[in-house]
This record gives sequence, C-alpha cells and structure tokens, in this order.
Amino acid sequence: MFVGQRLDEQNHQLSSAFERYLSQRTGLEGHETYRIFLVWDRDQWREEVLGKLEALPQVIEPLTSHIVHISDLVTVVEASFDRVGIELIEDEEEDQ
Amino acid sequence: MRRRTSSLMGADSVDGDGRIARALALAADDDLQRELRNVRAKATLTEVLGEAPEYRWRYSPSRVVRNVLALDRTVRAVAQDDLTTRSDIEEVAKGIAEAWESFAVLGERTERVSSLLYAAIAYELAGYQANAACLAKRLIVRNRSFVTLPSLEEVIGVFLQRQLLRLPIVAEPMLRPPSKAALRHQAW
Repeated sequence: MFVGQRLDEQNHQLSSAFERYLSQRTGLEGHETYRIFLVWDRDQWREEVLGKLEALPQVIEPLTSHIVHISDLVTVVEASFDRVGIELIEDEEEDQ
Repeated sequence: MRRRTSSLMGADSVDGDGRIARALALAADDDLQRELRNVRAKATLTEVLGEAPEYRWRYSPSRVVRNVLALDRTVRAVAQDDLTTRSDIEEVAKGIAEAWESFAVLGERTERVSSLLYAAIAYELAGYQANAACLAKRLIVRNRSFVTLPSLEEVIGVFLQRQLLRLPIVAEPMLRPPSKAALRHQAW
C-alpha cells in the first residue's frame, strides 16, 4: 500500500505497471521475490539480527536481505533532518 | 451492527484510464470470488475452532492479498476523488473489508494490525461505520495511556472511532520533532 501510494504521489512511470502487477491473476507463479533493506550503524551491527529474521514463523520466500552499514549513522540522520528543515529538540531530561 | 449511511463514492477522473472498470472486472472475477470464499471460510473456522481444520484450501494467499490490495487502492482513489454515488464501488469496498478482516485472523502474508486497519478503513468507505468503529477499537490496547509514542495504527483507530476530542491529544507526540537523545537511543 505504501509503495503504491508513493508511486502515485510522484506520478512515477512505474505506477501503472505496479497497478497491473497487483491486479494480475496469473503468470506470476515463481517470479515473485522479496527483499529487505536494513540500514545499520557499522559499529552497532550484530549478526544475530539475521538469525532473528530467520526464526520468524512466516518469513516470505524467496527472501533476500540487504544490509547497508554506515559509519556514524546518527550524524547522517541528524544532517538529514537538518536538510529538510526539522530542528531536533535538545534534551532537557537527559541528565535526570 | 451494519448500518448504511450516505455514499462518498464516485469518480470519473479516477476512471480516466479505465481503472474503475478494471477494478470492477477484477472484483467480479469468478476465480477471485472463489478464493475469497475460501479465505472467509478458513478465517471463520479458525475463529470458532481455534485453528483451521486440515483441508486443501483452494486459494493462493499471495495472489489474493495482491489482488485485494489492487482493489483497495482503487476504492481509496475513488473515495478521495469524487463525491457522487458509486454503489458498485461500495460493494467492492465491503468485499475488501471482509477479506482484510479474514486475513487479520489468518495472518497470512499480512500483519494482523495492518489487516485490521485496512478492514476498518474499507468498512468506513463502504458505509458500514459501525463495523469500522468496532474493528478500530481492536487497534488500541485496552487502557492504553498514550504516555509513550502511539503507533500510526492507534492514532487512526482513535480517528475511526470518532473520538475527535481525544485525537489531538493522542497524536500530539507524533507531531513533535524527535529529541537528539531519543534519536541516538532509537538508532540502535
């Protein structure tokens, strides 16, 4: 739902193709694949995250996981907020 | 519980490329209807018996979810675009609502909370506000205080129950920018 809405909002060239894909009744058997993208701070990454994913009872298949490691991710996120004009709140409760 | 109110449907502009006609054709597809009957039967038996009996259920969860999603997107587009009556689309919305409600029970290819939310919205658009409010209640944990950040589903649940005075209070934490400490904490 989210992906479709984003495509529609952007009037993306894939929007109508995505609509046809969703409506299709036949011809997709064995052609669907699923992917998860995880963006993780390099120093905080733990392999057990993948173990937890595999332990889920109803994992969709065939599933490929992509993990993106970024050094000092917090700085990147803070810069992104700054770029879109959102001012983060300084923490008054941090020392409490 | 089911009470029809006036329609919000219509939409010649959405149908500029034949989208509504395609959705109506898909909704009327005999194979999809058969699959949806299987889904509803399995969900009903699961609710009554605690689990579905061993049976060769004749539906593909991924295909049905995908098709229902296609119908749901069209219904929402129609609802946003036009205010004239489209009883045929209302019927589609009701079928979608029932399908999502069933998948909320079965948990196949969907998350329970998402399915409940989609079902509540579809009932609302189909004119079944009582059903929508009833399902919306299930989106919120009983006696939830909302001291912590609410989920988007919970905020929508409050809206669908028409608790319009409570809504800004519940949604307020979501309107605040994150704090630096929370960002650093949530990053991991």
